[in-house]
Amino acid sequence: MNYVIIGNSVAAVHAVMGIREYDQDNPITIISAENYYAYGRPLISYWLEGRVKNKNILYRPEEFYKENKVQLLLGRRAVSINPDSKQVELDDGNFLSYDRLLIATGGRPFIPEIKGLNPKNHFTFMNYDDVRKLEPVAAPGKEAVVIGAGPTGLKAMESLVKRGVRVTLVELADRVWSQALDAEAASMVTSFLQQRGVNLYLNDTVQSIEQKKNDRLDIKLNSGCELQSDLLVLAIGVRPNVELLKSIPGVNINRGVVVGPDLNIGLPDVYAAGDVVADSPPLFPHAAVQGRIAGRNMAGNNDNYKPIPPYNALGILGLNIVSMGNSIASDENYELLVETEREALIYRKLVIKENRLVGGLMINKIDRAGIYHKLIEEGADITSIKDELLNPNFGLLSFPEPVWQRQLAH
Amino acid sequence: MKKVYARPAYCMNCHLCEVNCIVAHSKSRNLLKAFKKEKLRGTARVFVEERKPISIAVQCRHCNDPRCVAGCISGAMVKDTETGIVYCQEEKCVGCWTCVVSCPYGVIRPIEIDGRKLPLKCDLCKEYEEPACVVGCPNKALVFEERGAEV
Repeated sequence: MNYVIIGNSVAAVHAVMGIREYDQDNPITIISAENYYAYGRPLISYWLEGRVKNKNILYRPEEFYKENKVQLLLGRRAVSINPDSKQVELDDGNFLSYDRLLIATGGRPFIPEIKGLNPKNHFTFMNYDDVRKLEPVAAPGKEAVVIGAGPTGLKAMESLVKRGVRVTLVELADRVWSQALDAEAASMVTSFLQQRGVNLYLNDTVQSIEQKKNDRLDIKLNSGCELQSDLLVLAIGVRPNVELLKSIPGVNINRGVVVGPDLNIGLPDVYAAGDVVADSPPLFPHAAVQGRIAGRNMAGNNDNYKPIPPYNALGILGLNIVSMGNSIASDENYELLVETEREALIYRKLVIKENRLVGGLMINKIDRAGIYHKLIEEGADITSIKDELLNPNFGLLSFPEPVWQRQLAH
Repeated sequence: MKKVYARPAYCMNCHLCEVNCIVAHSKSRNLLKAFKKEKLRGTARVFVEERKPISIAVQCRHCNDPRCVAGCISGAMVKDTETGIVYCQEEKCVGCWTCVVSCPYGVIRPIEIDGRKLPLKCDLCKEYEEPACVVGCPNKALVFEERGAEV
């Protein structure tokens, strides 16, 4: 039995652990396009800030591979898959045979067509090499324009600000992090950022880039505004890396690769996990859980992935934001429980639909947020505890006794 | 695996479990020093919930498939494959709070000690023979035992 995993990030690591729960012996080969042991991808902003050093960026200790009998092919790319001969072709011309294969190729930054844009005049913010390239140029006093104020753009902005770079954020939507923040929360975050010297352009995006002789960039926005900058970071979104799977009969691509509940992609013994999967939020915890389940199934188990509602915890310049499920809902189709203390920068909102919790958004007061996420995930009827949900003492004892007794018994 | 289980009928809401937890996780392992010198007040990894007349001490359930471990972006949160203990390697933690949102029991607490963010959670006193909350409970409202049923 030969296990092959394409990709070497969180889904791959958890797949190894999933395989090893059931099969301690058979060899696993990981094909890693990046030249590094698996690292915490979201840690790149902390690395750029200088808060995380090279040693601590590793997601698991170096020995992880050896201890789990994993052969790691660093700096190698898979260029094709042949499901009939059960082989993966590598970019060095070699072929790897597999009995079980995991596609954990993740995603890559989306780069739109922009006049004047070339690989040398912009940065992306996705992997370790991106921040290693940014580090020498992101010096105090420099100016940066970050396109996209989603989680990636916000983390890029934060790390640049902490390096003493003056940052302008440009966002196409009418507010920052529009997928998670409602108007009220976004307005709180916006004033917080502006007070810290961050320039913000909303309803706008980059139209063209021109490199000046002094190495500065002229960045024209759709609105007609012109920005001068030393560096440009594009953080607009991610696209799943599905190229290996295109035109393989039996495999369906819907942006990502379509999987069954067992994470099989429609080919015998081939599974997928993480950001490459269709209709699944490209989020860290989801990749880990899917990787684990795919690994177990590759080793002969029969486990199903039950979709987990999206959730995110994001710290920006000391502001702690948590979003869960449908956190932006604000119309009359939903019942909203809201607590706002604008001065203290505290915001707590829960979104209820048909007596079920469907979303939550918290700023700077996130205690016990996991209980809300669990309620969203379970879709449980919350009628009996609705009045308690935002109570400061909300906890296990807010639930009916049989529920908390069961919880305590775990 | 052996875990700490709460017995609500015996709990007196005395909060000694919290005190003993703080001392066990202090450098000095001395009550007065832990609270007054190390300033560890409020850093218990177990906490008592009260809803009169009921009170219970709640803490990490050391899940089989811990969501906090899956969600941890730095790899700081791990489940020991031998002991089953879920714990945070604090020197690796960046304080992103994903674990706080991941925990279905809401028993990972986000706090800041000396400007450093840390998720506080029970580590079953892995450096001791028995968890300090259990040892110090005056009415055996907390027990440390193997019950078989796992999450």
